[in-house]
Amino acid sequence: MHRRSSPRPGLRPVEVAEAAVLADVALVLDVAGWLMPTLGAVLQAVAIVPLAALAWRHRPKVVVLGTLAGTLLAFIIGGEGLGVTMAGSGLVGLVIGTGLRRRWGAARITLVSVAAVGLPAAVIGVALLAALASFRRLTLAQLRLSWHGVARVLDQLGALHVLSGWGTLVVHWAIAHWWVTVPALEVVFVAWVAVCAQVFSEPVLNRLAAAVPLPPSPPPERPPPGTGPEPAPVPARLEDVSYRYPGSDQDALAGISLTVGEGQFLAVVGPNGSGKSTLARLLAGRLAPTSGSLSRKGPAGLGQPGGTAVVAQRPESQVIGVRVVDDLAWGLPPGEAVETGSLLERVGLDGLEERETATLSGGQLQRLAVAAALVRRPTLLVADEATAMLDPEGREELVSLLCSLPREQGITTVLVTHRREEAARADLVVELEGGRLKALQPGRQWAAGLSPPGWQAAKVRAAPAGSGGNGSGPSRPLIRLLEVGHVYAAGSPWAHRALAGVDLSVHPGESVLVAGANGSGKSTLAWVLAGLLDPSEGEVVLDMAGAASRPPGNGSLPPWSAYWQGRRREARGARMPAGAVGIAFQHSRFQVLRPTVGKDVAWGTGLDPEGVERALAEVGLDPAEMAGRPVDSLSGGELRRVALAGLLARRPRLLVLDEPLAGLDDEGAAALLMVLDRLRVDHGMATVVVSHNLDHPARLAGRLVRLEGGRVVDDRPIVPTGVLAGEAG
Amino acid sequence: MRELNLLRYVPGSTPVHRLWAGTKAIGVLVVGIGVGINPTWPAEAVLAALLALTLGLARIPWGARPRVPAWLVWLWVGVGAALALLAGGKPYLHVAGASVGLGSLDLWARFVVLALLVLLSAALLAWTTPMSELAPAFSRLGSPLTRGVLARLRVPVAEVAAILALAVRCVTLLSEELRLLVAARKVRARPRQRGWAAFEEAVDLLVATVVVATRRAGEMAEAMEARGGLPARLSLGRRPGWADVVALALVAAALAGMLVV
Repeated sequence: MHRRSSPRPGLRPVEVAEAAVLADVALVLDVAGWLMPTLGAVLQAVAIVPLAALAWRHRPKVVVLGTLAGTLLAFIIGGEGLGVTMAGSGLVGLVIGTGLRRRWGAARITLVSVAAVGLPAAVIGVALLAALASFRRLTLAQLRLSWHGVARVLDQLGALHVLSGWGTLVVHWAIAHWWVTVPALEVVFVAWVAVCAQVFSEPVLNRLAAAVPLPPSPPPERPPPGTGPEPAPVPARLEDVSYRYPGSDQDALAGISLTVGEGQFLAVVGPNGSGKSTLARLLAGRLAPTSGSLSRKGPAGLGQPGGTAVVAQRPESQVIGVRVVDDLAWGLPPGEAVETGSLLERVGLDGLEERETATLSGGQLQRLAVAAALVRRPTLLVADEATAMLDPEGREELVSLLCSLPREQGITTVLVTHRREEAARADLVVELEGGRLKALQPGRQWAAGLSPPGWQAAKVRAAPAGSGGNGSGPSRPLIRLLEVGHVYAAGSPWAHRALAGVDLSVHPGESVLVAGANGSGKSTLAWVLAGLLDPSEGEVVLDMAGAASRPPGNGSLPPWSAYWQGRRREARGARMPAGAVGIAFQHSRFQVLRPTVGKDVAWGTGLDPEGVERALAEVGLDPAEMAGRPVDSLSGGELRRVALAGLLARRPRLLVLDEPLAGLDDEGAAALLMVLDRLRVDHGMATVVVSHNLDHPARLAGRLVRLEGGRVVDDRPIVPTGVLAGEAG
Repeated sequence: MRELNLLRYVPGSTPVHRLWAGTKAIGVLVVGIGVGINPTWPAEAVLAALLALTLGLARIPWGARPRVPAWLVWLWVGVGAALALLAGGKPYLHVAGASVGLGSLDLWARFVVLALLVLLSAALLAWTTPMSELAPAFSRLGSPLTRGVLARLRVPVAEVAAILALAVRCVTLLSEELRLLVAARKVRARPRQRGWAAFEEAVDLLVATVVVATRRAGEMAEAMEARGGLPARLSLGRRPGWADVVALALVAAALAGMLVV
């Protein structure tokens, strides 16, 4: 293939992003190596792996520039030492990643590392020591004297006298000939690190290649701004459009015909995997249909003034500037001024110009992303699942904002969502199912035809009386928090109180919903309940009598000051049975670590293949299809259920779930809730759901605990209302 | 889980906070080299005085110190000191009939103080500089390379600045994620692994970290593309002012002091 390109093409966004993120990972690992001297040598080698991954995926220029940026950041946060470490990691990573991609042998990679990194480092080291004469004398004298100290100890031990004599000879020779020893040691060190890093890199890179395919290269051709035809993404007419992802044997989208008019508010709804996001990508001009035709007035002009703008699902990934103003100005052509104030006011973020984006809530981040989109006065704005990760308040604010854009600014707005209630406000609803058009109707008409999905009417069943159940059962609580409070970073300028005076008991078989806004302390409470955090005040009392499914003291367990089997354990190191308490995080990938689903569920639970199948079936997954799947091929909802299977296989007495329904569609949510309900009723497992989702509390739990500012402001049984109450009665 | 309070910004508006980030970075680099060239007690005293002045001006509270495990520091200092005492050297101290050579101890102390001062100077930078100022300061420092004759060198200042800015944006996010990874592993509470199993587990953790980081990078790249790609110009941030001239003069004076004494 003949491709024309400039001799040194600039970096693409994906190269910049991966360089930044992987350099960060290396940096964090290097800092960890500092703090854990016992693991330091290993971590230094491990820190090379992300950079080797960068070199495996991209051209050397990306690694060099990424290393340079990483070195600068390392110098800023940790001084010269950390900077030098980072620079070395980057260069060795470059050699390893490139070498592994070109299938060099281990010996060759090591040799090249030594030649390309070890020797220059040795030369620089000798030059520096030669120049800094008194620093050299101090360090060398220091070494010599330390050895004399050791030698005296050896002398005292009698038999080791010979050793001390020889040692003194060697040390003195080494110090006298420092210009030989120092470079020799540096070369040996680099060789050693290169060997260790290779051992770690090879399996990691092989799995990464399968998990995260490289983005298509070259990028879609795009004329430089101002030269091509004016972007005009709408009206767009889709006629019998289908799309199939490369390598797939199935259409993600088939036979779609519709027209997106100017100034329209369009909603695309459907369950996970129905092709909504594919449609959004087609409309945004990121993909071209594999068959059928998509015709517009002009080019889509993604990211260009007057073209198409996109706001996607994960709030933290939408915002790329360090401060709010930086984010708004990102990528603007030179000389263009931004009316920051009025824009932020438009999205309800006025006065936050200087705030660091890392401190914003999910809802604020998404509105900032909309503001950043508005900077370019787009004709078409595509919000691809932009509300999925937000709390009800943030969602409402964002939907209202999006809703107002067509009316007030004539911007055609496409809202992709799996929430039916959001779609009802649209001019036109496109409902997808299995990649095909299920309905195409005006919003109001569509909403009128809806029946509430089954699970919304459901409510949790009460556990049988014997196991305690909701309310004041006769059983003893599984876990009791007494006056628990927690202050992060106590005694420092960053001290921050997350919990105060929390009294809470959870009984076997009970289901509790802990609700609260961002910053209410609910995540901290979840960590305390799961034993991941030792609260700074108060007491956590566990009563796991009879809970020990396996002998106590097995493995590394959460630290707790606990009652255990009725006896008081004062010691901080008191242990409780492994797996008795589980916590499911919102981000499940960190809980599913083994290469395949089956291996992950079996790992640490000791289940045989049949047990694994049962565990998978228990969470509503098809064991035959799932057990062999690589974990990185799973969707978000599947991943969450696999993580749950691994936790449930340990038969926990208490399971804490952080935002279990975020990003799940109706069907996924219903399946998950059914699983939890059954385990509670049949096995007496208690569940604590931590969520900002207060839409349908009765389907999540039998008891509601509301947190505000770290305090419990409300703790009561959830009384089903309306129709539900009638049904319940 | 205890916070390490490592390298965090202490909010404030003192003269030190208001200095341009580039000035502070240059200062740290220069004094580090200076004390390396002449690691004597007087030079260390000069550096200590400069750092004490800056600490005072910046009003860094005692509570801001990093909470690295104390035993670690004492182990390092203690073992070194014990070895130094055993090695002896002039001058000798006579206590109750025994003589102890203090010469090596002096060397060791100088070495420890040197290391601590260099770390403290880096910490000062982190305490007083908002992360958002780093990339613009770098761009301004590098901007001469993009103009005139030097532009022919084609040093990719803008690209490094873009990576740096994004790295700054993501570093807290990623360390949070690593914390979550460690916690998630703890919850599943496996018996401690050894040998091959430990290696496999380490690889699994690394894969999870790298996969999550790479996917996040992919999402961010899409977000950038949705805004028309990389910025075409350098964001230079604020300019250095007179205060920076004064600060650099102070650093220069300190450097001269360190080299002369």
